[in-house]
Amino acid sequence: MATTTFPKLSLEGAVGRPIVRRSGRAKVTGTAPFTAERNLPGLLHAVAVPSTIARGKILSIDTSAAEKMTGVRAVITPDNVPDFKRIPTFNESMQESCLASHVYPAAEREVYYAGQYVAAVVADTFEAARDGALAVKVEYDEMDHVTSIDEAPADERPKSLFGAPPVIEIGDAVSAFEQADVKVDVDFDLAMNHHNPIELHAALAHWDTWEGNESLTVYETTQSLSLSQKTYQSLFNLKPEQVRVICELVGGAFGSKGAMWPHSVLACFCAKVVAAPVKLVATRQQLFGGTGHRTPIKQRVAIGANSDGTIKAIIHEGTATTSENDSYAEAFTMATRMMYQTEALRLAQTQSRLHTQSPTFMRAPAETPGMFALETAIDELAVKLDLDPIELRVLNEPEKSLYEEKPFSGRHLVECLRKGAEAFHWKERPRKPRSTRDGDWLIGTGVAAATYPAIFFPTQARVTLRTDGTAHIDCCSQELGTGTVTTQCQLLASQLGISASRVSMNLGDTSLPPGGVSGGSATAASVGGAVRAAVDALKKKLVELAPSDSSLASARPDDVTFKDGKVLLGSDSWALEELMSGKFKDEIAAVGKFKGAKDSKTSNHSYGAQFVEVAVDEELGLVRVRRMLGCFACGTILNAKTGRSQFLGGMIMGVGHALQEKTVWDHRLGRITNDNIAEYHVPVNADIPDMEIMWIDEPDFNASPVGAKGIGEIGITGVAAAISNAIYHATGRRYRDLPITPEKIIL
Amino acid sequence: MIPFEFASPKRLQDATSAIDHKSSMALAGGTTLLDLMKLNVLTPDTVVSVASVLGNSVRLEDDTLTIEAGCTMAQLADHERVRESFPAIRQSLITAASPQIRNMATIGGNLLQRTRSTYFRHPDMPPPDESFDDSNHEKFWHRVDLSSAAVLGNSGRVVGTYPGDFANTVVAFDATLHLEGPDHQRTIHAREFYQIPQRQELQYSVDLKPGELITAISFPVTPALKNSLYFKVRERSSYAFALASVAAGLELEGQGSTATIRQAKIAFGGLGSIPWFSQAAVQALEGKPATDDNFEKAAEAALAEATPPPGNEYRVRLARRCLVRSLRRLRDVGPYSDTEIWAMQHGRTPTPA
Ligand SMILES: Cc1cc2nc3c(=O)[nH]c(=O)nc-3n(C[C@H](O)[C@H](O)[C@H](O)COP(=O)(O)OP(=O)(O)OC[C@H]3O[C@@H](n4cnc5c(N)ncnc54)[C@H](O)[C@@H]3O)c2cc1C
Repeated sequence: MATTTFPKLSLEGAVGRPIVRRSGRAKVTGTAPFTAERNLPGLLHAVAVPSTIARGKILSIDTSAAEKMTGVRAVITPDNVPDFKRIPTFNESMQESCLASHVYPAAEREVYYAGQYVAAVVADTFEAARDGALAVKVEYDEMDHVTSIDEAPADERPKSLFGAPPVIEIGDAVSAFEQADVKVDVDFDLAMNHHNPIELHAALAHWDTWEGNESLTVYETTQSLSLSQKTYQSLFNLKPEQVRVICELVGGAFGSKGAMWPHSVLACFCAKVVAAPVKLVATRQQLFGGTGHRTPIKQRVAIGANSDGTIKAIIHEGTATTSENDSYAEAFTMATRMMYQTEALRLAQTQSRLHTQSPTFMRAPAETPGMFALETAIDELAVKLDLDPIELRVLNEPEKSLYEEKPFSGRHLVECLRKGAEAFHWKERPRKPRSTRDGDWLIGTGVAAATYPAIFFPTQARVTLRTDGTAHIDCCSQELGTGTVTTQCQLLASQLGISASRVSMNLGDTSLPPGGVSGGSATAASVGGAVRAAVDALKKKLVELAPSDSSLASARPDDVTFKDGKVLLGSDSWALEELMSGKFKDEIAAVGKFKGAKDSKTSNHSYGAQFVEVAVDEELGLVRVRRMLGCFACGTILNAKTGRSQFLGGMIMGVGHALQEKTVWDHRLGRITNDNIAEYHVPVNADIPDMEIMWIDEPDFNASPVGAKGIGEIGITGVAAAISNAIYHATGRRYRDLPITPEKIIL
Repeated sequence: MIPFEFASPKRLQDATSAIDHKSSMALAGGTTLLDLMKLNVLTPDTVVSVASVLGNSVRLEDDTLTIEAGCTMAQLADHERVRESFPAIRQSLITAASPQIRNMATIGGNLLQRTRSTYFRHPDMPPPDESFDDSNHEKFWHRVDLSSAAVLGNSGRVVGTYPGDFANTVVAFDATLHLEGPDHQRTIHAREFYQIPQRQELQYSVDLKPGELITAISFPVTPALKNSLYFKVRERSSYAFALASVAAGLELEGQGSTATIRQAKIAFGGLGSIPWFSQAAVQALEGKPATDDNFEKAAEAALAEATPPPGNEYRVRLARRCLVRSLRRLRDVGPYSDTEIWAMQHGRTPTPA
């Protein structure tokens, strides 16, 4: 494409450099301020009382013993819970609310899932509150519950899959599949997963007065500050200026801090009742049931092809779960809409309802489970056709996005496959499974494609230029540990032609210009878009300020550039202070707004190829990963170091998803049993081999105002399929259920 | 957590007289005790710090290795003589827990770690009390969590697996525990110390009387302890409890499969309700030629009495294979080196040192 959706931006200088993340030193020296560590004068502590049954009615809550205990200030139950308004949730009104669930803490007379907060105790110390919480006696009238996807009827269609219908048909896929020469028709079963960030979810709520009005300040672990502010406004009928939400750093979230979970609302209730600031930290156990999960999913993928490998039909269908009262729907068939060329396509999802907390976004929610199924099925098709799986993918490379009927903004999947294959020495791979041994280990390699959409959230940023040659960004975005501050400073530095060390940034506070959700790998491009818009607005302002006799005064703002703190126009240049006077004496600021690309002319996604070598000991049931390589095309990489870390992190999560992560239940009791990180396994260092990360560094100005698409989540999306394909190559056996644990592998 | 008194006596005698292991409990490294107190599983009124009154020396005298109970897991694993000569001891420590935990945890506390069974760790989750034989209940068993349910020593019902590693080496190699009370000392063979759960009990019990502390543990140094290994299979490469493990030692006369087994030391971990010394395996091996066939027979015999919970049958196969593989290795090559153990974590073939 000759012209791009967003005008190209030259990003020389700081952008791309492997600059060390700014919060790094504070983190490794233990001085980084995380929410749960905060203190406020007069702070009290709350501990929630979770239900021990999965479904039923609350008959009584006996608080008398707790109330008598030393240090206990109050017990909050439905009898004394302060007034609040029941509002739409995130799933119903993405722009207005980030509330996770319709089930409110300490406010319901019924229980809808085990772990629901039915009451809370506020005390002088955390220990006293914990003690008090144990002393609250709840009597229930138990009702039947269902917590297993195998036991729940999948008799419902989700209302919407991130805006798309639950059934998508192009042509008649069922009969095209029937008539195909070569067919693969396989089922996949994926376990429930929990996010388990190291930082526990926490909220400190403080009701106060401000200019005669009630005001609420919440320090909270969140990926969605600006939306949290709106949510508190609606919950408590407050104006924007009456609510301030602050989160300086997030210590891991993976989607689990995108929505507002009941502990935050509960902290506000508690603080109101005791008229003092209250801190509530969810315990590790309460993260299993308190803060959402990835739903278990059952999928079927059927692919029909000609004997030359041309795909004729793809069917991808299945069931995910949601909770009794909420409507989160996992869009696991989403990536199948545009991955491969096919004559006919059928995508169809159903859902069932379980007595659980609402499921939520987790580590590339739609793509991770969906791509596992699709990319395993593609590998199975390659085996049936006796084709190399890379060649099969190349053969079915589409020209445009089938469902959207739009050209790709920038795809590069074939390049990723080729470049990755070469670095991984794919050519040396014997086609036949069970061909390589190393002692007791069978060795196999596998490949899978990865993808993630380019998502944007409306964001505003204020950029300030100072006459001392420094610049500053203000934006209520979040620092999830990904390096938002570092990379945005680089981005501004490149636009101003100065070194990144001259740029600073404040985020994490709703008193700053509103930012979007730090989820969906959207932050870098959304904040970047706002920063770019702010620079454009500054150019306009500077033209207006220019002395009327200078060439700048009649310049087109677009022709203005910056270098070393100077304003340039053609061969003329001005020091900033030459243009400044009056109220703009020392600095000049402008707010830029980025709305996101609603009606894009292109299909905007990132792509990648992932390669894995595994060793399998089928006598002992062990799978160990020996090598991993990922090659990605995500547009501009803003910082080679933090970028690489994002890809590495994603791929490591993929190892967990493929081989370890599984929430275990006692369905008899309707409760999660492995609610700790000794039993809920995520990869440890010893599980992770040497990893190689590479990328195709080509800015995508069709998808993104700064050429960069998200990189946070794509890293996980192909890993599980690459691992299961490698296990097939090692053993000759297919494993379609995740996680692939020893009892499945052992012969 | 429920409030408790904290005592830190200066002399062992004051500590022992203050401890009854129920309302008043010993705190050594705390990695089991504090965890379970936070979960409200153990609720002592008094916690008595014993770390400073227990010795922590490791001594090798007259063919006996004596380890004082206050010695940490890390200290014992890294002790020069242990590193050089007693592979099963070292390996059952370095493949357990994490470096941080091993730096805190003591040998005495280690022997008394509790089952990881969810029904023990959640006092408000009643365990299933049906018997496995109840075949009408096949569906029932899919609905409960059997991941920490013992395969051996379970009387056909759900009881918790003894999760530890080092204790398997302890029972395999005939170690003795030294116990001390306010006015007495006694020793007990480790194999008699652990008792399988009785009806209604969810996990093992021990022969430790109120007032008694473990003060030391001693291993007779035998040729089999020198030609030994600890082989642990776990879901992830590190920081996970065993799905099955074997502590094994062989004293051989002769070479290869024509050699005669003079002495065999065998115990299983991750399977039994207690660290599982296998008399049956020892009997099947001692005095016999070290053939693959005899190894297989020993493995059969060792697991003959297993009553795996539904869905856990694979752990019996796994245990047999762990044993056969360990014995072959000891016969053909000898103990693993650390480097080989790390290589195995990454799916690489151990290259003998
Ligand atoms: C996450 C995690 C993973 C783990 N993984 C493993 C693993 O893979 N393999 C493994 O083997 N272990 C593992 N462990 C268990 C760990 O090894 C034990 O917790 C530790 O060894 C206990 O020692 P301690 O000194 O901390 O005991 P403490 O917690 O201090 O005490 C444990 C018990 O022993 C009693 N006690 C302590 N000392 C004495 C004494 N001298 N005499 C009498 N009674 C005493 C205490 O009263 C208490 O009941 C793991 C633990 C955790 C938390």
